[in-house]
Amino acid sequence: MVMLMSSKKKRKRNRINKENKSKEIENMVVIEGSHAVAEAVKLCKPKVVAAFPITPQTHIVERLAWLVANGLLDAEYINVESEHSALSLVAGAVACGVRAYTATSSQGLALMHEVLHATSGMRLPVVMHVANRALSAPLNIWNDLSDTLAQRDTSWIQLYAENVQESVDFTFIAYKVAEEVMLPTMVCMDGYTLTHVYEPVSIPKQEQVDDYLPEYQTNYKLDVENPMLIGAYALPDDYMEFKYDQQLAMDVAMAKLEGEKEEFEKKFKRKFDLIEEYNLNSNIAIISMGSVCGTIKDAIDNMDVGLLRLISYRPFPKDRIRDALRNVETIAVIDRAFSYGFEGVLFSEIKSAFYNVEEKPRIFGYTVGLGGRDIRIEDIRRIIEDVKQAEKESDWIGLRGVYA
Amino acid sequence: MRVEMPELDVKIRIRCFDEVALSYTSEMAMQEALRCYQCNEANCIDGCPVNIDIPAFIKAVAEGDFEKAARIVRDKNALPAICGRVCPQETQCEIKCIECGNCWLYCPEGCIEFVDSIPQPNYDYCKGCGICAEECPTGAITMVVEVK
Amino acid sequence: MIAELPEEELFLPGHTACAGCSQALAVRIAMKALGRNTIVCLATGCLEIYSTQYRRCAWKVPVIHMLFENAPAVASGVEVAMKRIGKDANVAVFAGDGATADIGFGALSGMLERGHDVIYICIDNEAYMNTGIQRSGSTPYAAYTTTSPPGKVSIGNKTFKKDLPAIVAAHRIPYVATANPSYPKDLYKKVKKAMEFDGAKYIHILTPCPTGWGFESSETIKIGRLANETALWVNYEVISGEIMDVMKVKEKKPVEEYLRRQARFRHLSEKEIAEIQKFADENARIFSL
Repeated sequence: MVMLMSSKKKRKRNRINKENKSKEIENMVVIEGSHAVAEAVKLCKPKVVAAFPITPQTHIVERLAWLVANGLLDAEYINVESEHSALSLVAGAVACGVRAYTATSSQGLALMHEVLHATSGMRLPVVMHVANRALSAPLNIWNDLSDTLAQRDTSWIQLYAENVQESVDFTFIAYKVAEEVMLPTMVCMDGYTLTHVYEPVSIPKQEQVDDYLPEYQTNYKLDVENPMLIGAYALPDDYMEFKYDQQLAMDVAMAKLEGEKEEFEKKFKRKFDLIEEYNLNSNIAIISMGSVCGTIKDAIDNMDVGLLRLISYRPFPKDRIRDALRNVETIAVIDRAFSYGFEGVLFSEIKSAFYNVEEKPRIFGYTVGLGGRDIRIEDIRRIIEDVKQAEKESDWIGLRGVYA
Repeated sequence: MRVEMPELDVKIRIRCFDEVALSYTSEMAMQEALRCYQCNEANCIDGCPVNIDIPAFIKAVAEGDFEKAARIVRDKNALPAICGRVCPQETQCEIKCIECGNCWLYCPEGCIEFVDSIPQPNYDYCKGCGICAEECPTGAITMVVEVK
Repeated sequence: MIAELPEEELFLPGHTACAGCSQALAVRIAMKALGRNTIVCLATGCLEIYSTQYRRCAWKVPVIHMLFENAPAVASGVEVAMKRIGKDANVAVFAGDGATADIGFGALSGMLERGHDVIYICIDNEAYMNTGIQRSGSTPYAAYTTTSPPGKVSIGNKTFKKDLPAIVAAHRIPYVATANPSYPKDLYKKVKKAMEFDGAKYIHILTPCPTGWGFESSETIKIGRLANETALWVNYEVISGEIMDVMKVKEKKPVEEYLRRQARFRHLSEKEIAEIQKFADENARIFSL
């Protein structure tokens, strides 16, 4: 195993150290991202784990297999025959009132599409990590956000991590909030960029997690003592209210996530929020999600540009975004997924968030880094220059060959 | 399966007044008599206009004691030879419920309930499929068309 | 007890199945064998639609319905979860032929291969009946369905039924059986027997469909019996890889007696009937009927 120590990483680690210098840094290990996530899942004590391999998530389920095989995680570990069945099995387990887990990426998530809808429609609090990876075709195993953003309408809570520590921390928050509001949650971490790198991570102790995350208790479960039907057939007279309930649950989820800001910091001495406001004092701000924000922070560190990092994508914190950017005149949205036939996904959503605001910022959209194409600091700087020129409403950055 | 009654050939009987039914042999009669369930509370007795003890005479036939069988019939009926030839048994003793449970067993809805041991469909749930009537061995159930 | 079966109904009347639906009868009888200590997993299909409408559930046991093709996977999850929390409830799947032979085939194979302690009951009406009689992998040769209609250049469905019991038996699970609601006591006995085994169990039930096959609702039981009497359907068990307890036929009838009673075979010519007779004769040979 090779430790990747690029200069970029060193700068990021120094930033973390500077922030936490005055605080206790407990339980720090240098660990591969996917293994850190597996350790976090272990601390949540799921009773059932379903596993189907897909690059770049596979190391998560492999590590979990090793933990189960060595008696370190006491759970049923099932090797299923497809991702569609992985989520179905986990849903069946959660329907029995039991905490469960699976992980996937890209094609696997796409294959699960109808099961995602059914899981949220049946209000089953499943938690799943998605190692973000591009969708075929063409086949590509590297990182972008097209897989999870294509599932934005499935009524799953979606949290996007910037680094391995967040991928770990969001696991605990995901289970807690999912089980409180009865909506499934996916923790999104960039494939390879976060799954296959080694970073210094604080893995909490079991007592810390037990103190924060209660056991899953519910009356909504399959129980012969109290028979009920889970998953009805609803006619037009009934269906719409079920779906409205889901939206109301998303509103509650937003409030619960806000509540976790204080709770999580108290228990783990690390920050959590639905957005990150980074140097938002200037006229220009970038909006993006995921690990690309690390690169963006490096690029803008000595510039008069800020970054709003979106962490909770669903529920979409519209009011928080409007408030954080109330003094910003120009916004560059950096997208890592595109809605073909229209524009970048986040670009559309940010524009719509500001539509009814009196004094609207000007908003530009940039699509970068699809299929794992490297996003360089020069690319970010180029975006900032473009935004200042304000010539094109949107553009694709980093194209090569005939499109360069 | 009911033992078929041997009959006089059509070609012969259209030219004479001889009886059509040729009667069972002893073996055929005994075989047919074994079909009787010998119910404890036999509904067939109520179906008979003179309440002959039907299970008892059939049992005697099954045992080969034809004299005893005849005596049991004579006990209630003074003209058994005539009645036995003209009796519409298929609408009298034979149509009675023998409480075999077939209707309850084969009902797809499970809506047949037992009232005083007699099966009754719950008309809130009966869809009128007619399976109970079809599967009843005695024809004790009839389907009635309610609406055309 | 009535007719040697428990009296209690766990699959209640008031559901919206067609009149004379043998699938409803099969489920009703199977539930008497499974009992109250059962969790049922349904695949989308006739049964699910007519018995689990919101506000009108026909089941007296816990039921989960998720999607069309994932009932075996959901049941796997229910089984391991129940095991984890120390509850010994039976886990049963009811899925149609479409869900089993076609869209859920992979999930079924996975569940069988892993050996989950689940009784999988396939209720086979030989087409996608719930959506209006479309052809499935279990539709018999030359049958009419809306997606395999006979016509000027077509005889109807071109293929013979996928032999699901054989494919399932090849997974070497402890108990495989075929049954028919026209023989309800046999069906009951088989479900009860399946419950005695640990691991995956599979029962394939032929369920004649008045609506889809084209016969009077009162004829359902008779049609089912004819399926066995013509050797087009055979009731048997496979235990530890061996075929046993084959239900013999006292008087084997020609397939025409079964075929001509159903509208879906009305268009058959001598050639197709002969092909079907060959298939029945082969069954009779294989199972020594």
